[in-house]
Amino acid sequence: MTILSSQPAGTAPVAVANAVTLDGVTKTYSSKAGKVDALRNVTHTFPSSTFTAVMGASGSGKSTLLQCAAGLDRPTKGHVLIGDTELGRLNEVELTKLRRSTMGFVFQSYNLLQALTVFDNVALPLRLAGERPGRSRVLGTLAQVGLEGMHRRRPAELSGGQQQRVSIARALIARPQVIFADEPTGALDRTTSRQVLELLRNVVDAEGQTIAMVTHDPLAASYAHSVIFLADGEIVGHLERGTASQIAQKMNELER
Amino acid sequence: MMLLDLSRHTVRRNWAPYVGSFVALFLGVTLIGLTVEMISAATRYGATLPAGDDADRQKVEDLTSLFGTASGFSGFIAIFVVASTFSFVVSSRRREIGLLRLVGATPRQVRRMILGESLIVATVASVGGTLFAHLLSPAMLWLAADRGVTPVRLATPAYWLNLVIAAPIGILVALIGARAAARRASKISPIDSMREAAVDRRRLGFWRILFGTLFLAGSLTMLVLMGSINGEITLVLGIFAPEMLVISAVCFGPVVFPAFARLVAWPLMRRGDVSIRMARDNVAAAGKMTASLAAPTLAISAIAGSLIVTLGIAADYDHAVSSAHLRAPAVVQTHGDAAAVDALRHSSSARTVDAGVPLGLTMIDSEGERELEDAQAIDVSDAIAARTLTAKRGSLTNFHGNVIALSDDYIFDSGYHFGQRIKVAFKGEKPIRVKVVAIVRAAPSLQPELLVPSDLARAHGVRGVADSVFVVPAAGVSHPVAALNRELAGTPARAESATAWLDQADHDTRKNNQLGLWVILGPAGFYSALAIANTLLMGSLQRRREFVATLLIGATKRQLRRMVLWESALVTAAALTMGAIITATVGVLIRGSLSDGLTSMPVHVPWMSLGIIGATCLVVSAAAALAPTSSMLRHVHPSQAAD
Repeated sequence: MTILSSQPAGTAPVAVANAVTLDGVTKTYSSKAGKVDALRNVTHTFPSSTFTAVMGASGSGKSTLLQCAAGLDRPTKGHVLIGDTELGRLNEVELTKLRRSTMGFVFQSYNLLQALTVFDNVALPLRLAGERPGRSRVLGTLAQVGLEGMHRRRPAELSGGQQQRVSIARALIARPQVIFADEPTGALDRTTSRQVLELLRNVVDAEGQTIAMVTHDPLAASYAHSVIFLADGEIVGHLERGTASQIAQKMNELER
Repeated sequence: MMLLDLSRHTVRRNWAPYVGSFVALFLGVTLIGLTVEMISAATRYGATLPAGDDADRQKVEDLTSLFGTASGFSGFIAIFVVASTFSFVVSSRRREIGLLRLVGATPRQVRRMILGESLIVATVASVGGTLFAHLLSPAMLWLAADRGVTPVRLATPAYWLNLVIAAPIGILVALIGARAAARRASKISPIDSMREAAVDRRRLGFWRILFGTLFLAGSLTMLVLMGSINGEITLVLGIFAPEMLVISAVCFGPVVFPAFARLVAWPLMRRGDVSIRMARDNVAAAGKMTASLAAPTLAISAIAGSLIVTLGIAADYDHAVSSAHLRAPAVVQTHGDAAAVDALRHSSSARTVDAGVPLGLTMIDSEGERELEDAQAIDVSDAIAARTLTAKRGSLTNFHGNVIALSDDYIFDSGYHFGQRIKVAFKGEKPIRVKVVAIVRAAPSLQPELLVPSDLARAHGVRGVADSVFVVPAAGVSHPVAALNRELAGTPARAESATAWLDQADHDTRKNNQLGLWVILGPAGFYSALAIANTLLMGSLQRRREFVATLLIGATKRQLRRMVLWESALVTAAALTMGAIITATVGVLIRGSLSDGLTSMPVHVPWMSLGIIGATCLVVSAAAALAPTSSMLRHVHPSQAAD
């Protein structure tokens, strides 16, 4: 497996061109009320070292797309590949092991363990994988997200923006092939949001990370290299390097 | 190693949910530790006893087996308390566990983490429990000697044996209890880290339905049997049937209890109080919570209730049987005075003087196992005349020499049979063989379960004096009690009417029952209270957000407290109603089958004891619901809804 950020900073990784591939993915939920297609025949690739935003109204299927892409949910039809590995062939334990070595997650609610210090929260994925997290590696990652000197605190002693940085550090620590983010700034104010988004963009540009981020906020999406638009479970649009107002306009058109 | 570290952090930072497990394990291990110390003290003492000292050995064995039963029971219940605590811990930490799975924990790692938490709680509780037991044991041994349970004060044994035996049992109990919760935790999916709240989807799993049905079928079979057979076997069924019914009800709990609670709430709805309405909806919606609250209440009310009723009816039955059999109108209490018995034998007022001599008889079975039993040496013609001693099987006409008569109960319990030649030993004598020539109906107030002829007893050195002498007066004596008392003047013996004597015996039986019930039900009641309090405490800890939201939409704190009180009252009332139905069914069936063949058997329902059980359940659950809620409401403000 190629560890992307072991590449010199700034150079795009060459080993794997596509970090995540969705191939004809359909996800159908059955309930008493009948069958609902959350995703319909979605095909998309997230190239390595890019920052992609997935936009859409509530219920458009953007969170389902993220969950299928990350192997958290299995598609009803179609295939998902992380690098060259097809997720459908893996069992629960293999999936878990793949997840901890190749994927990172950042959510709206920071999802930190309240019982652990900042340091232990960030080191957790490595420890779960049976590695000894080097002190300098953890502190270095914390410095990367701007949290020098905070490693002894507990999540409850941090502000929302700081907690989100801890969860970004936790996502970065294992040097994953791809980071999945679901409304990472949904709970933050404008200034803090901007700082967090700049940080995410920076790990893509400077470290060659890959990020797939679900959001409904055009301003947040404008930090991405490209934006895909979802409606009723289908990809209905695409925009490269759009500004916040271009993205908002596109959203309005699609909703009409 | 890393996960154990996480477990340690979690338990240390957030200890409240583990308090129930800790207390249950601590007390359980204390009891087990005390048992270990008692047994090792008794074993050491037993080794110093001479071979013939059966009575002292028996006393010590009885004591250790009482402790053994009590600690076995508390270990068993502790498993359930630990299981319920940890299942709560797991469901309240769904998101956190989902997150761990998301950042790379395998299902096995999650399972090990939960087991690690239980291991930490168990280790602290178990070592603490053994230490506490070691501190208590000198006092226990002193008390046992002081009360005459042990013949001398036994020496306190060394601590290490207690630590080596009791502490691992405690840890094992905790691991068994936490197993199911750990397995459930390992099935939590990473997506759960993104869900706001977990919903009770499927309430009854396959195993629950299977076991629930099996136990229901088993208990119904027992109840049908109880209705169709006669005699004392019904008493045994009367103790087991409710336990099986309870297990079955617990299996179906998440469906049965909410439905019952709705039913109980129905007449209250008319008042239209919003607190009652909310309470009813919460109770009906939160099936698992309601079930785990109702289960201990149902268990204690159904099992204790039917035990109390069964023992009460058994006493009524004894009284009725004794009244039917005792033909002598007067009974003399000799207080061990041999002269009084002689006076009665020479009295002109007495026609029959039935003075059975109490003795201890050691029964030796085919494997050489010795058991000391209470027996009585009787003159058979007197016993027939005064207490209508009749053989259900065999004959009492030639009750002399190497023969024995056993009660039907004893035959049922011991496995000896009619016509068998049993090896027995009188105190200090060599064993002899006696033949079972008769089986008599048990009448515990009138005679012990084993009867031997007085000539046999005398030949083997029995020189005792009758405690109670049944006297049939000579013809023409109009006031036998007064006449006998005149003749007994100058001796400590006193005569009284048979009715008064039977009432006193009845009173003593019930008092003894009461004591036994305390010993058996005390720990059970305590554990039930603990389980109820524990569930409520953890339940209210989980409800902070719900309370905040309810305050935000305009509820007063008073309304919330009332709601919580109503919830606990509804659940407890539902459980008590079910317990009452089980108790009443058992009572009616036992009464029906025992009173068969008796002309009259008045039944005294122990309303007082039953009422106390019900009231205690209501009070404990109300207090356990109100205390954590009130303390939480003091720190809760609607503004926290945004947090």
